[in-house]
Amino acid sequence: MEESVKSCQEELSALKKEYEDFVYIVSHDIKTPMRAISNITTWIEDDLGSDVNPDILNNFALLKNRVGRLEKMLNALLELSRINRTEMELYEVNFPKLVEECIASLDYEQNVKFQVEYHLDNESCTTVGKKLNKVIFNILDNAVRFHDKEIKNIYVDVSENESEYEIKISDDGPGIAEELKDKIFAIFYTVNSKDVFDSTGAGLTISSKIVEYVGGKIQYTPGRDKGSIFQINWPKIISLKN
Amino acid sequence: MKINPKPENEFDRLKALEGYSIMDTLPEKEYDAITQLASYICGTPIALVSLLDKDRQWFKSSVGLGATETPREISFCQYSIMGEEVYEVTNALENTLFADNPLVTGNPDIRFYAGAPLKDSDGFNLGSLCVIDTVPRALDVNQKNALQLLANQVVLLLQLRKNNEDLHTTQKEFQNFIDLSKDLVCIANVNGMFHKVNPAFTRVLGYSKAELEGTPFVNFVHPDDLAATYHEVEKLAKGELTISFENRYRCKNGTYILLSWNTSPDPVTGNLYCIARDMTLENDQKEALVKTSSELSAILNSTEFSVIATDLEGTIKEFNDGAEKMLGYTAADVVGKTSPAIIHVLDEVIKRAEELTFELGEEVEPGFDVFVVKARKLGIADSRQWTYVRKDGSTLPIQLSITAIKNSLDEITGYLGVAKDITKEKEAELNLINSNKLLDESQSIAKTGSWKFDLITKDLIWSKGHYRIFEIDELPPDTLYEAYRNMLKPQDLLLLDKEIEKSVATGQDFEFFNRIEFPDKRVKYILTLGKVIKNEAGEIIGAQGSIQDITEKTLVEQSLINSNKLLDESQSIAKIGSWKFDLATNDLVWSKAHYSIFELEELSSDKLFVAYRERIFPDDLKILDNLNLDKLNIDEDFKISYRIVLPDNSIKHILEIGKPFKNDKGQMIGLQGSIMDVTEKTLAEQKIAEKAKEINDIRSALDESSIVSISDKNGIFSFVNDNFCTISKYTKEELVGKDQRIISGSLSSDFTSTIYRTITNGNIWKGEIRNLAKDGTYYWEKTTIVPFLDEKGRSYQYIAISADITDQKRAEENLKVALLNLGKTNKELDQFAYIVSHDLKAPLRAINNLSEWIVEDMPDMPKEVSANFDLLRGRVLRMENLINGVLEYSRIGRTKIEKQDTDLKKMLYQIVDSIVPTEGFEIYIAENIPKIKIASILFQQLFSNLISNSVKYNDKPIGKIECFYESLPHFHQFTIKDNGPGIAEEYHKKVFKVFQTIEARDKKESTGIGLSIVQKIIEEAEGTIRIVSEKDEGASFIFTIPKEA
Repeated sequence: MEESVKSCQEELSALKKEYEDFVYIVSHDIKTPMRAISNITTWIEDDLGSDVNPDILNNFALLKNRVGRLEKMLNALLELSRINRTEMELYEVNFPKLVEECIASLDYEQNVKFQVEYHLDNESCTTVGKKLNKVIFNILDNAVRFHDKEIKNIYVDVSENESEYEIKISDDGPGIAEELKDKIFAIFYTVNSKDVFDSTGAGLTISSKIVEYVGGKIQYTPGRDKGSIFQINWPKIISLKN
Repeated sequence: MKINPKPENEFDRLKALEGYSIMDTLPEKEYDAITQLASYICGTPIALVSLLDKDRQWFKSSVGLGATETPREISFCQYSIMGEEVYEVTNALENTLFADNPLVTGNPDIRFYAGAPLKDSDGFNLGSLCVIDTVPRALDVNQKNALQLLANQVVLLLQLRKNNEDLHTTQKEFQNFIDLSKDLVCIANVNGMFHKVNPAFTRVLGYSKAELEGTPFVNFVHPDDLAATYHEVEKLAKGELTISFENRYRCKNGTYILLSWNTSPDPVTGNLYCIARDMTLENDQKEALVKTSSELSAILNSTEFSVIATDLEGTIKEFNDGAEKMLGYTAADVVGKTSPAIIHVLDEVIKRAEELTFELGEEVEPGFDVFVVKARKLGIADSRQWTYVRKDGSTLPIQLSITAIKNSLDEITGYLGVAKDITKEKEAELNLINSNKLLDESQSIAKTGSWKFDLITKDLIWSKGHYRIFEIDELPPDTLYEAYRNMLKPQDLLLLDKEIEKSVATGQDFEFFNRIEFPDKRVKYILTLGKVIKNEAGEIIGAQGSIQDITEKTLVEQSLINSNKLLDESQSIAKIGSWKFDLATNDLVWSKAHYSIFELEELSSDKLFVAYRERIFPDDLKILDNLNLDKLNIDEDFKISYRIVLPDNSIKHILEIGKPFKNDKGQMIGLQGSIMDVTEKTLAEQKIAEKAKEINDIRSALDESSIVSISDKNGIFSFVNDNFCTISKYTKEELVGKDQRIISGSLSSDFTSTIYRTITNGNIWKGEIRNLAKDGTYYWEKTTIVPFLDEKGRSYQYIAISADITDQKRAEENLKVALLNLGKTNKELDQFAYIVSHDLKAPLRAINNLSEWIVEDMPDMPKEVSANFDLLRGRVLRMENLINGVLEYSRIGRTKIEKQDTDLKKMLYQIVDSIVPTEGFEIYIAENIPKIKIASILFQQLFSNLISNSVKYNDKPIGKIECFYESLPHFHQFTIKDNGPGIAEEYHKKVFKVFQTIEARDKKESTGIGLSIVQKIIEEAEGTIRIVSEKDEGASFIFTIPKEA
């Protein structure tokens, strides 16, 4: 019986390794032809110059866009494959400071309003700060980017219990249709066509992968009046899953 | 329809007729004379003496008729015997009773009939004297009277015959009586000569009949007794009717025996009728009895058995020391005063009387006869267990053997009951019962039935008991035999027929043992015993007998034999012997039984002591030597045990009880006593001890290794062991006396009622149970619950033996979760791979399409730009191939592909067709490439990759690609060989790694994933692949896959 469990677990870890291999192979080995494609495109652009038929220019612009998107997708895959390899440093993080930094690095306009609340005994904690930063940034970025209102309200609420920090990020944006909410964490999935919002659809995948990796949880619930709520349970003590 | 009349006393009439022994005798002239006279007087051509038995009329005498008998139902005489008067039919044709009678319509054409009944002195009409004519007529009054008178003459003849017959029988019986008499019977004539002597004379005296008859009987009287004998005989002359006297008589061999005479004279002839009895034996026997009884009491007084001797009526004659000790009565209390009834339990006697009545088939009154009937009737020692009641009213179990005491004439003069206290054995037996319930079954009562079988009609009759055993409803006799046979198995039928055949052929008793299987699979073992029934002619016409359901006996026997023989051994009757030792001479005297226990030939008394000591086990001699005679109290028994060694080196255990005896002066001059062979008892005790230890060992082993609990029939714990407490986290005090639901309460009621149903029906339940510990956690047990059954087969307690399987259960649950995760992950990974490759290909395709459009839209495109576009499209293509390759690679082994029969040769031809250019290549595909069952899509990929590699890297003007096949013992082996550049040794392993290509990708457009796919497919199929190649000498890819088992 124990042997069966063991062999089962071995197979499971083999599968996980295969998943990582897959991501790694795709992101690394395909990078070579990707770079070639990217370079060749630049050469062609230089050789063509601007003195050509606008239709052709238009097409070429499209071509460049696709090359760019492809590159972003591959970079996203690369990032996914590196989640458990890089940026593993544990250091002390101050929550308000971390959230501020995230907001600061967002590319947003004046009509976005952030309301941040902390219910913490101790605002500092020792954790894999870069990862936490990444997760919070990705979710805030989504909240800003896919917002459909003139005035965009975004709420951040950080609280704690014995073992976890609970980070709630909500907005009054369009929300996610009920039938789609299971798909949003899948790689390259975008609610709208990629031509509407130029997005790779990898942000939530990477975020959930990180949270899962540190032993936490991330979940989506629809907001009270439309909008979205993402709740992150981030463990106080990081137990790294292999 | 005509009714055949029957006299009211028909049954007795037939018996009376039989008493005359007349039927089917030869003709006699006395009867013929009467029939002739009747024919003459009545003027009829035919006259008959007709006698009517059950089915026919038979003619003792006939005139004018050829036949000797006719069936009764067409006879005229059946009407004659109904009345007192002459019965007359004047014209049969006009009489409705006879008009269609075959004797009227055909030969002898009877028209006239007149018959007078033959009425005997007891009033039975045995038949008739009748006259018959072929023409109608009538008798006148005189003729009728004459006919009746003649009929009376016939009856007189019959009566005479019967009287003769009786006389003859009586004489014969008397003669037999005389001949067989043990006493000497003779007739002496007036002259004092033997006139007639019976065979007893020859037997007792040795003279032949001829030597005695005609010889004076005084010739043989002892000279000393002659005067007395004459004196007695003279009394007869004086008118005494009977005289009795004794004298000594000379036998032929010269010895004298003592005869006791009774003599009477015949008043008519003056002959003397004498009866003599040999008193010698009786005298000897009297003496012997006195001797024997004195010896007996001497021997038996020194044993620890109770020995009680009684006379024929049951009055106690002997009551030994052992009996006094055992029962608390003194000999003076009981000898001559009472019967053993006072020491027995009345209920047992009544019960035994019933058993014996059944067993012997005759009424046995619940009295003294109950004890001795077997000894008396069957001449065997009747040995069984009883309960004795002591003087103080307490009881003890005993084994009582009763034998008849006989004199030398083999006549019973009394009874001897030897009883042994079996309290210890009983306790041992009880212990056995407790540990091993087998004995219960051995005490069940045998079931029996009886049957009778008619060999001619095949009618079979069963008693109710017989039907009960066979568990069928009662059937009519003519169908029962068939039904019985249908219940037997074919092989048993063969045996049965053989046994019947044997009994019919030899007349021997019939014994048949078989099994019956009932529809519900129960089996009974049946023993059928039978005796043949013969008719007067000695022919076998049937059989009758009994059956016995010996299922339990058989089963018990089997299991007893299998499990232990202790009971038999412990119950066997101890053998005893007696001895006497003279202290002055060291002379030793033994009884015969003593010799047989020691297995010694009889020895003279001076040598016996030495032989005795030699027999004794060397180490045990000191027991004898330690017996300090000075300290022996003269009134006290000593008791020692020792072992003896027999010539075959076997050992016997002996219990010896002895007592000093004194001379007239009160000095101790010797020892006497008895020994008892207690080997069986000793061994049995040892075995019981071993068995008890074994049971204890098993129990402690069980305690050590398992979780054990015992609960009563209501589920209340009566015992829990330490393991039970450890796992349930309760203490013993918290569990014993509590309902077992304390731990099993969380189980579903369906589940518990299944268990309950199983064990209350006496079956063993096995299974896994999740129980609740004290701290609220659950633990799993693999449990066996065994019900203990009472005599009625009802469960009275349950023992549960369990093993802790909590860890195993947890592992099982973990496995379940792990398997679930595995399935999920597998699916996720598959989806992930698909999404990635699909989503990545979309922009690639867009880039490709856009660059084509741009090139089409710019016909005057500078050369270097269009070259760059070509380059761009080449890279796009490579990237797409890469993505496809990775996707394929990641899918191998994760998606189950059904195996199917595949013609590999056909597949290879198709692959070659689609991959290999028509020119510049020579292809060889071996003929022996087989059809096998494989995942054909994977093998299509496998061969495509290998062959396309060979094509891709070919560097010769004519590329050669060859496919071979070889069948190895457990593997299929395939080889793909080419004449390309070959692969250097150092790359043999490396080429199978993902994205490895030996040459730069720009030189040969290759993703480098092909061989990885090949290797992964082969590994999934549990095969191997290797490369045989040298640089510049071509390469062979050789791979094997296992054959289907």
